[in-house]
Amino acid sequence: MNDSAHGDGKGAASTARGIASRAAMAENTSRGLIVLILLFLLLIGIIIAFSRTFIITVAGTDPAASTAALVVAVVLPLVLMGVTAFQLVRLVRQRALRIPGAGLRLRLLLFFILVAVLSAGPQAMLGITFVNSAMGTWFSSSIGEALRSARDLVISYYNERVDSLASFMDGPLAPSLLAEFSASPERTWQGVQALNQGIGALQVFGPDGREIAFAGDPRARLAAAPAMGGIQREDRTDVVILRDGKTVRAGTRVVTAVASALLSTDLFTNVRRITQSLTVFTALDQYRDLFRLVLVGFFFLFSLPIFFITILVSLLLTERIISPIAHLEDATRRVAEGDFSFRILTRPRDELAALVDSFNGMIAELERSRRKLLQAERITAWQEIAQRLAHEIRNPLTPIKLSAQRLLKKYGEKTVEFEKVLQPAVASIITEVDNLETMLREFGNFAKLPVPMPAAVPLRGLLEEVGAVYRHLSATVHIELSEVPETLSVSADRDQMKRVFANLFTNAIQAMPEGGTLTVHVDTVKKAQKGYCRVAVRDMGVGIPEADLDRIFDPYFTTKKGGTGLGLAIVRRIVFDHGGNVWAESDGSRGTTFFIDLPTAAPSPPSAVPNPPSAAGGPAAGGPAA
Amino acid sequence: MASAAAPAARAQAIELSMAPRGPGLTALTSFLGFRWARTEEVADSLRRGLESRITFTTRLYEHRRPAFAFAGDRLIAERTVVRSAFWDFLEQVFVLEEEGSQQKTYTDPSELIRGFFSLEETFTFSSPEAAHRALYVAARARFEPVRLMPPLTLVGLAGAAATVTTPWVKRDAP
Repeated sequence: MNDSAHGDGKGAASTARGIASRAAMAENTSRGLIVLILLFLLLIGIIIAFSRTFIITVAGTDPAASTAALVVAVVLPLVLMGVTAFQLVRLVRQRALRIPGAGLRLRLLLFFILVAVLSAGPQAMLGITFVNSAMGTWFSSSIGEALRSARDLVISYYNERVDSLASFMDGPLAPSLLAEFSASPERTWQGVQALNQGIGALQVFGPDGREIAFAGDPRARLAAAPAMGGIQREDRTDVVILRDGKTVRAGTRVVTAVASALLSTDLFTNVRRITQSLTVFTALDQYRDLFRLVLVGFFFLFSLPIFFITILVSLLLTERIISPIAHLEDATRRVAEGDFSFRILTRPRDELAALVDSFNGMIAELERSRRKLLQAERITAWQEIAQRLAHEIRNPLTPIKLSAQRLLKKYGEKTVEFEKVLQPAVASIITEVDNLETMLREFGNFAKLPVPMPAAVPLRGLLEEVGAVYRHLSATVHIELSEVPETLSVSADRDQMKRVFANLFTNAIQAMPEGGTLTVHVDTVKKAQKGYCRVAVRDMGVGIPEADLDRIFDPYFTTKKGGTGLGLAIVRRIVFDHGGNVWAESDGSRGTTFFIDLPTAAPSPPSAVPNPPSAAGGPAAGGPAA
Repeated sequence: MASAAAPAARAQAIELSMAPRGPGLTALTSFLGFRWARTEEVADSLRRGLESRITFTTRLYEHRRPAFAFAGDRLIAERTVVRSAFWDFLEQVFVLEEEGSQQKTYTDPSELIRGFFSLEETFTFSSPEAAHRALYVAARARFEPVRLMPPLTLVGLAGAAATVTTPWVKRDAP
C-alpha cells in the first residue's frame, strides 16, 4: 500500500496526521478484505456442508432452526446488498467529483461484475435447466402412469384372488363338494384343486367346532372354527391368508367349511413400495410448478450473498490496485501546482515501489533545481533592483549637487546674485529630495507587503468605497459600477484589495486627462473546479502600446513622468498572493482593460458582512499608481 | 413460510387434559387432542395418495421449589409419538401407522381424524410416592398436512404444505 508525505519539516504535524490516517485506512482496507474473504469461504463451506440439511429442515421440522436459517438467508443478502449499494454509490460519487482513480476503479469493478455474471449466469441456467429436465424425465407423466398401472395391476390381482375365493364358496358346486370333502378329504381336495387352483387350503369343522377334515397348505390350518362374516384376512410375517367360511349340510350334520387363499407377503410389501412412490410422485406432481419457482428463489438465496461479497472483494481489490496509481496522480498534480515537498511512501514489496522511488527521486531533483533557479533569479532581481535604485538615486543627486555647487559658488563670489539663486536652488534640492523620499517609500511599501488575511468581502461594497474617493478627486471622470452584482463576494484581504483597486482607478483617471468613463464589469468564471470572480476595469484613455503590455507589471517600469513603476507591480504581487491572476488588454489607442481573477467566497449572512468605512483603507493606503 | 403458517396457526391448537390420580396409583395419564379446522382436506389429500404426519411430544415435569426455580423445572420423562396416515388402495381404507405399534385401518374419515389427532399417554412410576409429587405435563404437536420428501420440502418456503407446530401447553397433574 502506498502512502504519501511531505518531505520537509513544514507542516510536519499535518503530514504526520495524513500518514497516520492513510496508514489506518490501508490497515482497515486490508482487514476488511481479509474479513470478506473469510466470510466468503465460510459461506461457501456452509453451503457445501449444510445444503442438504438446510433443504430438509427448511420445511419446518425444527421451527427454531428453520426460522434462524430463514433470518440468515434473508438478512445476510439484505445487509450485503446495502453495503454493496453504499460502496457503489460512493464510488460513483467519487467519479463525479473526479477523485483520482475513481473512474478506473469503477470500470474495473464493472468488468469484475460482468465476469461474475457471465460465469454465474450460465451455471445457474444450466443448474435450473438440469433440474427441470430431470424432473420432466424422472418424474414424467409416463412414470406416474406406470406406477399407477403397477398399483392397479396388484389391486386387480388381489381382487381376482378374493373374487375367486368368494365365487368358489358361493358357487353351485360348493355345497356338494364341501359335503363330500367331509367324508373323503384327499380325493375331494384334488377335485377342488382342479376346479380352482387359487384355493390354498380347505378345512371343515363340525358343529362342535372341532376339525373334521383338512387339506392343502398347513400354514392356513385353524385350530377352531372361525366366526363367519365375509372374507377375512390374516397377515403373518411369511404369508397373508384370505379366508371365506360357509355353513353346509353334510349328510345329517351341519358343518362349517373354510376355504383359504395364501398370498405372498412380497405382494403387500411391493404394494406399500408402489404406494410410497406414488405418494412422492403425487406430491411432486401437485407442487411441481411451485417447486420450480422456489428452486430459482433458493438459488438466488444462496448465490446473491456470494455475488455481493464478490463485488465487495472486487471493490477492495481495485482500491488496492488503484491506490498507488491514484497517489501518483495526486502527487503529480500537487507537484504541478508547485508543491515540491510532497513524497509518496511505499512498502518495499510493493510492485510499484520502483516507480514510486523514481518519482520521489525526480521530485527531489526538481526541487533542488527549482531552489537553485529561485536563488539565481533572486540574485538577478536584486542586482536589477540595485542597478535601478542606484540609477534612480543618482538622477536627483546630479541636480542636488549642481544646485549646491552653484549656491556655494555664488556665496563665495559674494555677489548680489546669491539672493536670486538661493531660492530656486534650494527649491530644486527640496523637490529632488522629496522625489527621493517618495521613491524610497514606494519601494518600502512594495517590499513590506504583509501576508494577506483573506475573508469574504462583498465586491460591490468594496468598489463603491474606493470609487467614492476617486469621484471627489476627479470631476471629469465618471466611475460606472452598475455591472457589479450586489451579492458577489471574494475571498480577499480587504485593505490589500482596496490598494489594488486604488492603483487601477488612479491609472485609469490619469489615462483620461480630458475626462471619460471608468467602467467596472464583473463576471464569475470556473477554473479547475474552483469559482473565480473576474473583475474588468476599463478606461477610455490613450491605451498602452502592445510592446509595453508585457512589462507594465515589472517593478520600476513606468511610462509616466514622475512615476515610480511600482504601482502595478504591487497590484500583481497582491493578486498573486490571493491565488488570483491579473493581466491587461489594450489596442494601443482606445483605452485599456485590466482583468483581475479572484477566488470567490461563499455569500455571508448580512450581519457577518463587514463594510465599514475604513480610516486606513482609502486609496491613499496604496498610494497612487506609478 | 411464517406468513402462510400464521392463518393456519389461528385455526389449530392442542388440547391437554389429565386423568385424576387416585390414591395408590402409580401412573399418570394425559389426553392430547389436536384441533385442525380443515379435516376434510386431510382426508381428500390422503385419498389422492398423499401422506400426512403428526408428531406428539409429551413431557412430564416436576415443579422445583421456589428456592431452586432459577434452575428450571425437572424433566422426568419425555415421549414422542409419530403417526402417519395414508390411503390403502388395496383394501380401500385409511391406514394409521404409528412407530412401534400395529397399523389401524379406518373406513370412515371422521374416525380416522379422531384416531389420528388424539393421543393417550401414560407415564408410569416406580412407587406411589413418586406419583404424588408436584407434577405437570407439557405437550406440543407438529402436524404435516402433506408429508414431503426432500428437496420438495423447499415448497414450504412458499407457504405450501406448511408444517404447523402448536405452542407448548401445560397442565398440572390433578
